[in-house]
Amino acid sequence: MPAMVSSISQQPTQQAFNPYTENGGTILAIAGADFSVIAGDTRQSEGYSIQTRYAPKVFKLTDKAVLAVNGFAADGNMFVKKVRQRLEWYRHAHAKDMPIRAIARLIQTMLYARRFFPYYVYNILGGIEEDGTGAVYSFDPVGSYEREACRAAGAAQSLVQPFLDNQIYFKNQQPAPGSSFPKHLPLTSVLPLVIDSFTSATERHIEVGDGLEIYVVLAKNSTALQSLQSIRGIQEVTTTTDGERVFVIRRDLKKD
Amino acid sequence: MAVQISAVAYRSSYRNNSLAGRELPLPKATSTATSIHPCPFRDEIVLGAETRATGDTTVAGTNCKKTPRPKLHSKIHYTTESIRCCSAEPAADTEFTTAPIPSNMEFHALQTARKPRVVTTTTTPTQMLFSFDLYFRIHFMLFMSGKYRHQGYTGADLVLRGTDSPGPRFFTIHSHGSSDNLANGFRKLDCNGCIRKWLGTRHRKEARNIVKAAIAAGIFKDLDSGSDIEGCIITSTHTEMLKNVEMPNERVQKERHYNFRRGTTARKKKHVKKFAEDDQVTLTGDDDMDTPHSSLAKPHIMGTAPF
Repeated sequence: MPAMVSSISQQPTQQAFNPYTENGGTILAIAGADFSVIAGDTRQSEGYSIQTRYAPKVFKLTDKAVLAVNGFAADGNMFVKKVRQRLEWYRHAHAKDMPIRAIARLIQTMLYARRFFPYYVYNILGGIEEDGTGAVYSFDPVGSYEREACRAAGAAQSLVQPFLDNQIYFKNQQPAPGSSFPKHLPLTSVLPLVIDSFTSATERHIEVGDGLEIYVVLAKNSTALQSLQSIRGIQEVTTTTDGERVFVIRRDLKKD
Repeated sequence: MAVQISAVAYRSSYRNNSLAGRELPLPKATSTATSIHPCPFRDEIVLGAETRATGDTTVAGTNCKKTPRPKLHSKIHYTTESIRCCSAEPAADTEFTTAPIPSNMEFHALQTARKPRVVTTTTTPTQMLFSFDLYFRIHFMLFMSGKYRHQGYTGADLVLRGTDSPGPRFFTIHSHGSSDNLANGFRKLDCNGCIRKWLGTRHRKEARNIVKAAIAAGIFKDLDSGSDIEGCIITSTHTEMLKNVEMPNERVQKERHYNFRRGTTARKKKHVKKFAEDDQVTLTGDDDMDTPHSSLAKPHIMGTAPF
């Protein structure tokens, strides 16, 4: 093969292409007794530049499940698209929405299916369990998951998670003598904590800011509904009449 | 193999490289971020800077100028009465490269009996950076990661006696020690959008607005820049520092108060050690001690407070 002879002196070269990038931003979710709050900022950045000030990271899947995705935005959007497609197929087959427990397991298998070319995405799934309790499931990019009461992920995870550990789980706090800390906080306490988490992360992390999108999922006949009446600019996005209700709250964050 | 003898000691680089190989890289430095912008108009010059300091993706300082020693933490450094130097990137480096310039220039002024020219001012940081460059680039390769850059924009004095002084000048000094006197130069492209406007500027207000717009562009579009706008106007006779030119990024009020109940922190035991014994109060004299004036008038008993 004469063509080979000429290339003998050449060293083999390797072409490299990195298909991943990191788009910053932060997400978090907190579960209450009969509600769940899922939030994320809306800045999308690459390196030291802002790509857009409004790129949603939190998506309503059903009336009882909301998914927040953080990491590589393109993978995140594609992943949400594929999860929604699977949920639609489920609806066609079973004439009901998939329970959040099953969505969590579905997300695990979908992530692990791509074990050696993963979606570069940290997922947090929040919503209402079939027994009416608030649920938060958090995932790593290859599908390891766990149900928790609260979780933060993304660029400012290291800033927000310790704050939530202290304020939600009451870590490093002693209760007053003769009293104990509540297992679940009311929505009136959770929402300010979420907003403060993001305003603080915006102050100290350069990739967090611009806007805040908070989804609130209420269980059937949730007592938390009362406290939502007074929230400025709240918007209901419920689509079914199953009883669960979903709301969105939007806030501005610093833009520098 | 013979050891090559050179003017630079390579010993530390071997050590640092081997430490880096053992996952002990050099610590990251705080950066003073980077949006600085000059604008000359007529015989004056306007300098602007933002006030964020960063360490990687963390905001290390939101408001450099409010620190107790504003000159030290500002991005605009005093050089001479009519010259200022703006700096960007590693905070410590910029402070130490700009620190010796004022005294050097003062000596120079006394020696020559002239006001120092801007081009003279560039000499100190230029030579310093050139030697630093060799030192850092060889020894702090990881630390620099190709990003190390010091830019000094030195603003100008123009009525410099001689006719060769052409007016407001500014120079850029690069991290490698090279300098040029191009009439432009900002690190961030966001600021560059404003570059064309100032060529024909003849009004102070317009120049100020251009600088403000350029810095605001850096603050909002560049993640490394943020917080407030500070600036100064340099004329032939004096420099006017402009603090709080604009503060578009004030902290918002928090939703909750984070106060902790006394006793929140767990403790295993309590032990109080008394270092001072209570003094025995012996009243002397027959006067009433409850009126403050009477007690002050008299010599009070040692170890007791005069009431």
